[in-house]
Amino acid sequence: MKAFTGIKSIIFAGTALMVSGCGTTVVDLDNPEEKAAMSNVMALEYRDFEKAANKAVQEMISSGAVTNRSGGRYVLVISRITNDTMQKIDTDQLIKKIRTQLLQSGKVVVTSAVGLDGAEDPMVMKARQLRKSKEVNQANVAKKGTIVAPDLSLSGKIIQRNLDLDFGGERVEYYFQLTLTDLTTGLAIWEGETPIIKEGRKAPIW
Amino acid sequence: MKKTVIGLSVLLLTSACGSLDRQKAADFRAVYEKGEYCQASAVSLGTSEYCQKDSQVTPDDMELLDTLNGGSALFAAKAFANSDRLFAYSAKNIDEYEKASMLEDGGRAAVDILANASLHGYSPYIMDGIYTGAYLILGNLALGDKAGARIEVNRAYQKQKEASEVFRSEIKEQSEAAAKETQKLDKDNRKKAAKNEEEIIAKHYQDLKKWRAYKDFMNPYVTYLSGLYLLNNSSGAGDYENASMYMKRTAGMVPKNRTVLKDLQLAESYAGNKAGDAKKRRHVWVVFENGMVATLEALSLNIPVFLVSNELSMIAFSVPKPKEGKIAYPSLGVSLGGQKQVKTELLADVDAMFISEFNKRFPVILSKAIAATTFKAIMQYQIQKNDTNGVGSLIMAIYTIMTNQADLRSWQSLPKNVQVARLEVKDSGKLKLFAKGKEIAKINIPKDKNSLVYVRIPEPGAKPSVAVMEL
Repeated sequence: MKAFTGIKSIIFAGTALMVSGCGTTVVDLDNPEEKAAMSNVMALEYRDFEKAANKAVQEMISSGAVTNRSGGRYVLVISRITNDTMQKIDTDQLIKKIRTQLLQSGKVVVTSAVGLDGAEDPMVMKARQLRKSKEVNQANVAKKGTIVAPDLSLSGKIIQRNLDLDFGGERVEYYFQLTLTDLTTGLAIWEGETPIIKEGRKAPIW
Repeated sequence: MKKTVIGLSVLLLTSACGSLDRQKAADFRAVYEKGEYCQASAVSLGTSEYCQKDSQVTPDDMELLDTLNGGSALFAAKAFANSDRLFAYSAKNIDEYEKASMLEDGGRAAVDILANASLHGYSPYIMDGIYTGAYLILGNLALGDKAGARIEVNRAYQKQKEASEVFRSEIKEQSEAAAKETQKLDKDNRKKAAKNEEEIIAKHYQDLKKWRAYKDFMNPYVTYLSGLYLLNNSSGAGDYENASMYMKRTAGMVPKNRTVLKDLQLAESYAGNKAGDAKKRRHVWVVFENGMVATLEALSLNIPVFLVSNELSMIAFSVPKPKEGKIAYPSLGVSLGGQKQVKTELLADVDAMFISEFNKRFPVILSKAIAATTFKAIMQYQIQKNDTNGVGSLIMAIYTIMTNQADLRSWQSLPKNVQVARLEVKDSGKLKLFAKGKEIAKINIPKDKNSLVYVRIPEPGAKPSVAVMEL
């Protein structure tokens, strides 16, 4: 009886595993075909952030705004990116992609020592507190005046507009707006906007 | 026969839920009115532990009315994180309900006909979903999450924009279902039902016609909070334009409110970049949620129904009727340092919003109730006629009495009205609140930042719940 119960459990578990496996599709994001074939959603998703980031970086580079004519690389600080949508999204999803690509371009480095609400990486300042420690070899403790001030600041806004279509259904318009400011002059040296338009049902409020 | 008895017994048992709902509502209100908010949350949520800062409510599977009442009780108890969770859950549920009712095939309305409306889950009013937006904006500010508050401002805008369309769909669906049920009645009873409907409205509901709220289910409180948020948290010129637009709309709804007019001027000067030194001035806004909103009471009526041809019988049933809410105080006095005391002014008449929406819904509610009552009376008569041992008749009679009850549920922890006042913060950070000339609270507010003071007083003498939020 016990053996029979055991076999039944195995069959049941196996069936459950097969059934649950059938409903899941793992998308390989490195495969462009699989990525393009992903189901569409009205909310903001991976591909939208990727598209907006790619476009912004390409435009920034081709405009020459991030090319330091005196040589070397510009230091960029990330300013406020306002989420003006109806969805709880992490704006870092967009910014991380932009940062990574700019860094890879070799034209820009991003500072972690400065941010609107303090240093993005608090360890920059924390490590400087080791100056007082007799336990720490002071040779490679950061000296005063070594933090590099940023040259450029990147700020932006993600906007959402939900619209009813005349013949049923809804349209959601997203706008990724970014501004690159020269911190020395205060002038906006590059601005870009990537609209992402989706039509379907159930425009996201949540 | 056996099947009928079992079926009716099950319905009988479930109909008892309506009585339990009423008891729970009465228990909740009794403690909430006194300002015992943690106790009130315990009535709604089954425990008072969510009042504690280290607790975390997981609202999955909670009833909507419990999360709305429990959410506002926790908000007044200043348990903002849990209150926010409950309101976010409520808002999502309301949204799903509204989207579903736009697609539903009348299934919900058919349940009303068979039993009574209070047997199934609470059907939210349009104003519930919109008002939830006010608590979500305030809750995020109270938690210091300004980015979260911005999302709620956007959601609240969308909700108000969609309100009329959602209402039209709901009423259309319910009207169609009620008409379908009325069609099941014979010709004489159909005619009688229509006449009964006219007579009841003319005789018992004329006094409610005086209640007029704001166009398209707009809630000036939510609109105002949205404007106030953008005025204080602009991320660019566009936000000041939007703040000005929100203030303009609010002023259109409450044109006599001087605070709103001053805020509109301020927003317009910011939007036109003409504010100059005004931007350096610091302000404190006081929003006062005053009293308790209108509730629904049962109105017992007898209507004539043809059980057999040419013979009218009087059948008892009950329908909901709003009873006006009560204020705690006509207004609050607010003073800061040596400045002249100012009075809070009406920003939103919540009673009017509730009763005017009820008025719009009532013809369908009544039509459904009459169809259901007539249908059940005929069913009862037929069972009695063919019942040999009397058991079926007895069960049917009790069932009819219990299911002819009106659905009296509503979000009852809302205030009767909301008022607002604004003061400039100069040298003092000590804000005093007065009710009928007597000081009722003294609060420290930030001197170097704009802030909002939330005040809730459900009835005269109740201890005010006061929270300071940075804007």
